Amino acid sequence: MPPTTVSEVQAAKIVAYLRSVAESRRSVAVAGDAGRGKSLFEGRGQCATCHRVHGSGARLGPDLSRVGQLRRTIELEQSVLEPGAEVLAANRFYRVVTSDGVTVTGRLLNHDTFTVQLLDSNEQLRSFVKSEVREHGFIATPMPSYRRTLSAQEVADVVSYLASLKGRADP
Amino acid sequence: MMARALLLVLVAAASLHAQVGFDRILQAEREPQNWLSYSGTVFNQRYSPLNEITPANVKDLRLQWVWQSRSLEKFEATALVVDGVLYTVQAPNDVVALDAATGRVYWTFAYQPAPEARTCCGRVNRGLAILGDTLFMGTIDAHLLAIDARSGQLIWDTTVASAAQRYSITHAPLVVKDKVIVGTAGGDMGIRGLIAAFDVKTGKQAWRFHTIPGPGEAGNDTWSGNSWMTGGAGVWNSGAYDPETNLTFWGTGNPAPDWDGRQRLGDNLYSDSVVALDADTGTLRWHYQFTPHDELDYDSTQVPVLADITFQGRPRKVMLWANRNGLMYVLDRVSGAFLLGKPYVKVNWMDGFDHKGRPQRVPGKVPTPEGTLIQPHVHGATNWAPPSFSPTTGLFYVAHWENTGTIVTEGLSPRPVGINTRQTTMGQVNLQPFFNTEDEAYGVVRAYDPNTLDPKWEYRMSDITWGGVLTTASDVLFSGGKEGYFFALDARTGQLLWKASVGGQVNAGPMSYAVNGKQYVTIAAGSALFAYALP
Repeated sequence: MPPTTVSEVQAAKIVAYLRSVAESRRSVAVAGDAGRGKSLFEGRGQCATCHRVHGSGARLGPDLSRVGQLRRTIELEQSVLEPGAEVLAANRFYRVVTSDGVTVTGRLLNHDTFTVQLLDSNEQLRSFVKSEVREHGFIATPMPSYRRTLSAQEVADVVSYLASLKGRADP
Repeated sequence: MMARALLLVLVAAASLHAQVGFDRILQAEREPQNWLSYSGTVFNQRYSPLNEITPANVKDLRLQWVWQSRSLEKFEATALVVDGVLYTVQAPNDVVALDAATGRVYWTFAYQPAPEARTCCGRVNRGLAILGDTLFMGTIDAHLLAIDARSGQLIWDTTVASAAQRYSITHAPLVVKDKVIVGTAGGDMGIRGLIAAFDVKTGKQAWRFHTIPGPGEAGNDTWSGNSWMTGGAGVWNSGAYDPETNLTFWGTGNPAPDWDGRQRLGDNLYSDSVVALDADTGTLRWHYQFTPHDELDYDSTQVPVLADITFQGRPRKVMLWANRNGLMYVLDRVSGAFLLGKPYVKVNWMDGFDHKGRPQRVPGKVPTPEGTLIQPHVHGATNWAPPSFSPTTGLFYVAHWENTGTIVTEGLSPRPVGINTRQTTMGQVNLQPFFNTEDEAYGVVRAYDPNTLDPKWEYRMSDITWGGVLTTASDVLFSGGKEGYFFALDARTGQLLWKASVGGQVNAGPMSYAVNGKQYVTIAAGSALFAYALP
């Protein structure tokens, strides 16, 4: 993105507009219930096995504590139904097969010509020298689509819950 | 959002992860591959049980990696290492997790201190604490943060004191059981110092100890008028902990105003002291004041070094302390009794101790209208840089300055002695031209016998030093200084064994760890962190 010459006032207006877009009404066809969505998130959906909200849940997937501030509902819905359609670079997954044949997968934290750093599926910070492993490379997101496992109403409920996540709860 | 099978895998895996329980911190010497607190253990000995690097092979050390911080501040932090992950601070208050073997970054936690944050001597931070999966950091706007060590996400953020009132936190916190303890800096800016403990899970305050007693409390009468309200006595270096007595020990800073005691007549307790607090309640158990009614800015914010030694023929639980005021001490850390003290550099402001260990002041060695020569320098014989005690050699190792002094003048900031005042500046990031003679101050690393406080050997540097000291089980000593060298000495003789030019001033203490059985030693210099190991 090239540098701009907008003033602080203009920049504030742009930010306000972008925030208003993020606040836009959800696109799912039916109205959702955030409370039911929370129950699905923590229960049958097993979302907390990978995602963290306000300090609870796993760290493998993105922390969703503020996702309602950062994403429009249409984007949240897409993440639930087509999780591989758009994955932020910071949320990509990577696979390493070590020289002794052990496969390690995890969220990519960093890589360079010679090394790669992951948060593995055991939530361990792992670093590998590429020349010392058998295989390594990007893999698709392990997050499943919920198109067939949740009803349209349940998807709406989960999206409503995600949209309600606007920041930290009190510890 | 994954299948149930993965949930089972994650649950099973979670039980495999080794949390940093407090028992691990208490017994840190049992896992020498890790470095779990600021000076390695709660005794602050800055001694590594690792022994792969020896006096015979240290000459073969090679640079393994360098991590450049995105900061123009002094790099004063000592890293932590937990199971192959190194955590350090990018000044002022960003936290970085690195692969300890390669120096590559796992994550960075960015923190923007409040604009009103002020520090006397650089927007610095000296390190972190860890418990469980949580890192703790004090900030220059006087917050205490808990950060997830796996992800770098903020867990809680507690305001310890008001940055607008010039409180700040610059030292590594100390974890004791289920509490994390910090103190507040700002003693030169009229704060009322404090030490406080917070619940590690919630950040809720458990106790608070004011380093200046309030009205009705013992010691308040050592401050004339209302001077206690803004009397300083900040805390800006890490404390120690003794599990046998459940006492936590903290050094306190100078009273304020620094060089003019006319407004605060009395001893000014508990400035320039070590306070021993009950770790559960913060109740004061004992104190020892190194410099009563200080008018020379002799902060006692060195790290307390605890050791169990044979002292003058009998086993003693002692505290070793090389103070900024030019005096070295052995205290009984159970009772606070003064066991031994003596000058370790040229000292002219006192000429002995009474039977309780109170220094006897030399008349006239105070700020005067015409100026008075005081030795040692206002920045001290040594300052905050962490020393080392080696249980292997039984020696106490201190990096400090010799031949220093200051002219103190009533109502004015002190000025250095000599024609080249660059000689005794604060530590800086970059190397500076150096022109001084030995008579104008020089730096040393010196080994002292705790039984006598007599020096056993010294290693001289041309310039002064703000670097700390590390010793290892194989009797290798590491240190560095303002000249920009990181070097290794024989801990038994002081002989120079190895050196590397690191291109910036060393303003931190070295530490050592191991990954896959390979020993590393690190030092921060300039604005970068360097890691060395054998080929």
